[in-house]
Amino acid sequence: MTILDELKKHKILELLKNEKRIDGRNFLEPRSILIETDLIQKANGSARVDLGYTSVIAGVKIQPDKPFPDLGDKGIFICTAEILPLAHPDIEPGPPGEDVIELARVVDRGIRETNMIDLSKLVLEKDKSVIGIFVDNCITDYDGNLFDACSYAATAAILSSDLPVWELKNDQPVLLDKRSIIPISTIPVSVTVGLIDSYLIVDPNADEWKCMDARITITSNSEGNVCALQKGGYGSFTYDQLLECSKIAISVGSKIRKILKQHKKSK
Amino acid sequence: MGGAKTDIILLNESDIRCDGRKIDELRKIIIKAGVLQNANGSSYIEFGNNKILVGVFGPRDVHPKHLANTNTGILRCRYHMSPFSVDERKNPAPSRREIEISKVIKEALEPSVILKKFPRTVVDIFIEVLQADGGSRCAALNAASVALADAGIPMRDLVSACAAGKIANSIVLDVNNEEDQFGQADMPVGYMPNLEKITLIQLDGILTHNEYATCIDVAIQGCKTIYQIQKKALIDKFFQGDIK
Amino acid sequence: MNVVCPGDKLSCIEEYESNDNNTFDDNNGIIRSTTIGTKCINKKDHTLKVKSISNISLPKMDDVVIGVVVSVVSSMIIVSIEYVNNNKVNSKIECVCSTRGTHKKTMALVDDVIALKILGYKNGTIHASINDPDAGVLFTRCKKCSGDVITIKDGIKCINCTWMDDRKISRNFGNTGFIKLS
Repeated sequence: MTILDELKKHKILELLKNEKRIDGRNFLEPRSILIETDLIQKANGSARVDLGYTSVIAGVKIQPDKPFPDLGDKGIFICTAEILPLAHPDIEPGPPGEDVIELARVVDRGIRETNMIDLSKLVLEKDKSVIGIFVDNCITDYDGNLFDACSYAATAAILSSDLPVWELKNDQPVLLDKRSIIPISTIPVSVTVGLIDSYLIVDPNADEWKCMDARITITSNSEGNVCALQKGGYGSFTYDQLLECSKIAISVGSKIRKILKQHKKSK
Repeated sequence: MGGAKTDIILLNESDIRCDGRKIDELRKIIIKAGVLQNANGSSYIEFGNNKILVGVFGPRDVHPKHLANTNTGILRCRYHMSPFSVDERKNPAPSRREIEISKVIKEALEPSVILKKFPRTVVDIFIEVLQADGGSRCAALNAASVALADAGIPMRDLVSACAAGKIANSIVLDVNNEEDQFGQADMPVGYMPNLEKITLIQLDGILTHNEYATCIDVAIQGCKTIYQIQKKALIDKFFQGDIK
Repeated sequence: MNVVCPGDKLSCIEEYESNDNNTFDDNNGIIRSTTIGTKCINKKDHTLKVKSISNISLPKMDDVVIGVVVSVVSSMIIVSIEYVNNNKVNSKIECVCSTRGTHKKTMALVDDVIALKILGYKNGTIHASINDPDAGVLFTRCKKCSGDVITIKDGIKCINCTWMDDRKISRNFGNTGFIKLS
């Protein structure tokens, strides 16, 4: 942390002690969430999510693929993320660094571990040919909390996606002239809680993100169960704080799930 | 340039093209300036089905430092396509095509910018193609020029870009994806409309000398139309469109 | 109002004269704008200029900048600029500040937050001065123990280990008003 960040942290902490956040939000209040779907016609599904000033565009591409050798009875799901260099002055073009790789894996895990997509329904022929779903997140503007922004963008893109239908002919997948939808079993919602001193705040913005001691990203499913989580940052949580975070993630998450649900495509 | 066989009728008896346009008609173009929060300058363009976002940073310190020029500021450009921008998912690592287009766009903008006053600095242009269609380099160049002006970089002129080409033995304006694949020639042109200078020109396909001359002329007419759209985007941002 | 964009014709060189930074002569006898702005004509002395509306964030002469010291060499310090006239900059740029001709051993150390006044551009570098009363160190730490410091005459003193050090202190030392949070 640079000396300027320390000075910022000092200011943020003073406000928190008076139960205030720098942008006037309550501790448990996420920023406004704007979702637009179907903006990329060449993708099977797409969504742009604005979480405050953080902005992400996610695109879904679906194509036949070979299954992973140990998972022959399941389709493929892969989620990636890239912070575009136009999103922030400190981002340099090039292969993703450890932060971006962590980001992509946490978003991927949130969707995978909730079993949002029923991958067993995406098999053309066991061990030979399956359907692969690729979700790519492009971050176009940075103002903190990419975990949740990418998670909402990926989820909204999947919910609004169509599913091309293939049929095997002589072991070759042939695209049919009809469309289905992705088999969805639950809607995952990730909520990131930041810890500054002893204060827990939902959806930290860029300034809060830089100053926080630790963070935890918790993904819950439609049933209100905790399905995937990841702690990050150099600080540590107490047992009680972790329980509190999970309660926050489930209650805040259920409100956000209603927003995401509006973008679900029906047959 | 394909010239490949197809069932698509590129030009019908009444000179209407496969997407319903006349031979001298541009696709639909929308440009917005100042769309990003963190960049010094930015723009978004929809050019037919192309959807492209551009962010400009600088003038700022050059990293790595050895690239800095003590006599003038330098320009860098990255043209990049999102994995979902094309029919088949694209690997995010930059391809040879993207690297070439980055260079061509940079060199097309170089004559327009005045960086002499900012030695040892760099102006970075980041172009992200969210959806690609035929003519994405021209669309990207139009957006990049608007983003540079939005960032306040001193410029001799805007650069406007548009392709002309040959399909079904006719010279047409603004070649689309199908015409690029199945037509006879595609020639993107970048043009500074006030200074009347060409800063980008490429061709693939075969043209006679006369067709070549017509093609350049047709492309320049297209650039002049696009120039007005670029200018409007800038005036709309800075003057909220309250002037003529 | 006369709105102009880069490249727009402002006048012929015969008609008006311009020494403005936002205009250029296109070598064909025409004065053109280099920027988005409004055209201002002075009919009395036949001059014109363009009032720019889209400004780059580079500092100009007499601007006050706040930045972080990135290196200290024998007779100068190099500062990475974070704020120009209290506005955060997105594109970072360094300036140099000569520390020659002062009796102090240390004007500032690496990582200090410092305010400077811009003198101008010379040989492709931005030069700044630390001699203004507003200029000087705004924040620093003890170099021995990283403890908090207080100002004393001509320098600072650590409240933790009582170590004393030279600094050119700004009269705004300790004031965090320049830090803007979203």
